Order: sequence, then C-alpha cells, then structure tokens
Amino acid sequence: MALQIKLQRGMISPIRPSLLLMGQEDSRRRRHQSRSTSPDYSHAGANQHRRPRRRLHELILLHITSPVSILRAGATCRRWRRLISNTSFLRRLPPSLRSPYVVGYYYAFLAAGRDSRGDRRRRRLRPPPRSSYSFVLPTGYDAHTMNLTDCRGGLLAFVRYHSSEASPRRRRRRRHATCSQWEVVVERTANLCHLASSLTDLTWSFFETEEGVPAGCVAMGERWVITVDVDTMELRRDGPEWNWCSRRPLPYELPWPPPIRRTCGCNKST
Amino acid sequence: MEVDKGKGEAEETRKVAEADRDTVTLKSSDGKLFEVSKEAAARLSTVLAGMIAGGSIDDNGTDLKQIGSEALENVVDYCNKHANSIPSAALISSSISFNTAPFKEPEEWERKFVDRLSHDALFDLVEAANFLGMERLLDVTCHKISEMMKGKSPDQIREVFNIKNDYTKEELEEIRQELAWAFYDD
Repeated sequence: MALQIKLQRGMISPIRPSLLLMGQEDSRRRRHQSRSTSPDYSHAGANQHRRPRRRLHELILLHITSPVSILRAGATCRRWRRLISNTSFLRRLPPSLRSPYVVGYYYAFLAAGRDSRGDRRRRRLRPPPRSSYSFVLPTGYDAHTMNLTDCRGGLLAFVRYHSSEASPRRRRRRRHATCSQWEVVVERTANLCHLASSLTDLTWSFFETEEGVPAGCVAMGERWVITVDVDTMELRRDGPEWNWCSRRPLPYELPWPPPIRRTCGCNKST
Repeated sequence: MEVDKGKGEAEETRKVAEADRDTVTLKSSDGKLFEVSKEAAARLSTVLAGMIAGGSIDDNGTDLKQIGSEALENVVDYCNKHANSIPSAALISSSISFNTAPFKEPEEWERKFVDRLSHDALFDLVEAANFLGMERLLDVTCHKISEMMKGKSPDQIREVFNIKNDYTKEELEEIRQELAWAFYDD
C-alpha cells in the first residue's frame, strides 16, 4: 500500500501530458474547484462524435479479451468497477465473454512459478500449493485418480492418473518414473494441448492467453468436460448439456461483480 | 513557422501537396503545423471530414487546440501510413460501429505503429483519435491499451495506468473474496 501511494505521487506530475485514466479524476475534481489545470475536452465545441471520457474507458475495457482481466480491471478502482458492472457494458460484451460455458472457477496460489513467467519454454508449473475450486469433482474421481491441471491459465484438463500402469513406451517415460505425480501432469501439458487441438469438434478456451496465469475460469467449448488418461493419452468427453461438475445447467453464467454501493461522490454522469 | 511532417511518407505528402494542394494543414495546441492529405483526413476522421465539407478548413492551419503536437504528429503519421498501406473499405466499415460489428484485429503495421509509442503518447493519441472521430485509430489504440492489462494483477494494472486505488481496505477484502479465483498474487 505504501509503495503504491509513493508510486502514484511520483507519477502524477504536472508535466504528465495527459492522463487518460484515473489520474484524470483528480484533475476533474480540481476543475470543479475552478482550478483548471489541464485542457478540458468537455467544452471542445462542435465535436459531436467525441465520446465522453467515461465512454473511452468503457471502450478500452470492452477490448479486453478475457473475463479475468476485466474483473481484475474492475478491482482496481471504483470507477472501473462501476463501468464493468453497468448493464450497458455487459450488453456490449462479446457473447463469449458474457456467458461462457463455464465448468466452474478456481483459485490457485502459485508463488514459486511466477518468477519464470518470461521464459515459457522452461517453465515448469508446479501444482498449486493452495487452491480452491467452486465446483466439485465428478463422482468417482478423487484427488488420487484425477488432477486438475491448469498450466495454460484457463485451460482445464482433468488428468486421470494411474501411477502403477505407466507405460514404458511413452516418450516422457524417464521423467515419469522419477518425478512426482504432479510433474508428470505438467510434463504432459503440451501434449494435452496438441491432442485437444487435433479434435476438430472441440474448442478449447483459453481465457488468458498468457501461459502461466494460474487463475481463471474454466470453460469447455461444446459443453464437454474433458478427461485425459495420462497413460493412454486418450481424451474422453463427459457430460454434455449439464455441468455436473458444478451441478448447474450450462451455460453457467459468470458471477459478475455487483456495483459497489458507496460511491464517494464521484461523477456518475457521462 | 515550423512545418512538421509525418515521419514515414513526408516526401510523398509533399509531392502531393505541390501537385494539387490536396492537403489540409492542422495546427496543434502549441502552434506546430502538420499537413495531411485531404482525402485521408476525410476518410479517417469524421470530424475533419465534416470540417472539410463545411469549408471550415483554414489554409494557414486549422486550429486543433485540444491536441498537442506529439499526438498530432502521430495522427498525421497514422493517416499517411494508412493511406499507403490499405485498401481500407473493409476496415473502415468494420470499425465505425464498434457496437454492432466485431473489432478487427490490428494489422501488422498498426500494431507496430502503436507498439513504438510510450504510454503517455498512447494515451494522448487515444484522446486525439477520440476528439477527431477517428474510429479505427481509436479502436487500435484502445486495443493496445487493453492488451497492456493482460495477465496483470489489479495492483500491476494500477501501477501501469497510474490508477488511484480508491477502495477501502474492507471493500478490497470483499472483492478478493467474491472473486477469489481471479486473484493469485496476494
């Protein structure tokens, strides 16, 4: 917190040419106290096509391609939170963002893996030491036979794991023999993606395109939940039409944040 | 007075200007002059198109008090590049109504164009594009800005965009709990 305040003080300087974003709110307030310090676009005259600044922010947020990023943006400040929880904003969101076929949500705390984000090839994702899911695993599966891998941030693959039956013919055999169960899963991830993309009737959803973003929502195109058998590397599809992981019918709407109640006197109008 | 040109196609702009004076001169807030082809200006900017049609273009430099010289230079640069690179009917028709038509991914050159800009220049350019009613440029710049949020935590987004955190501690805690799955860095 202290660091943040410091940063902001350092960054809001009089010579900063234009603050598209939140700093502007400050200068707007200053203008209200009749201390005009920056050009006021609201009196720009004959420009009827100009969007108010609020709409500019909206436009930027509408360009975000991941619901995770939108929600995170909404968590940065009240103004953006109001924007993203606005019904007109939700209406304008692409359908894919508005109501994806979501199996559920998960939260994973991944401290160790973050440093290596820059180096994708070498990245080894470890199992999240702490994670929680908003859905339950299918009946008959438990933590010993089924793991949720999340190596591509948003891609969900349930991997069934049978340690005793590991096939020596598999390419990753050596690693398989020596590494822990979770690492096997990780090692297989690239293969999972290849396999998934080879199934033409399936769409895999990557809600964050960056690798290694370990949180997000989980979606399955075509309303299937995919299970993967590590040994045979076979993909199996389960449960059409009904998201039996979360016990909800699909599509399972994204729980969008409600607008905050207190508004601290900000300008509500456009 | 100093006359600046868009970087890339300055030569061509001049040729065109000499040939049939088919340019408009724009004046930034700090008095610098920029020339841009009338055709490109009218095609890309609804505001300039309106001014050209309405005859309110000043030969000595149309005053654009709201746009600084750096942003205007980028605008002119964009116009020139656009004129030289795209048969743009498809682009324009797709971008004019963001509400109804899906956004078309930036072309390679557009990506390069916005990638080289600093944050401040980019924000200024958004404002300028907005002011001039340049829908496509607005889309491209907004797209670039939204890309800057990709994979970032709320704290990192605040830092990049200089956003003041105006939530109370309790509210932040509430948000975290409500959207636990979307946070990972705390």
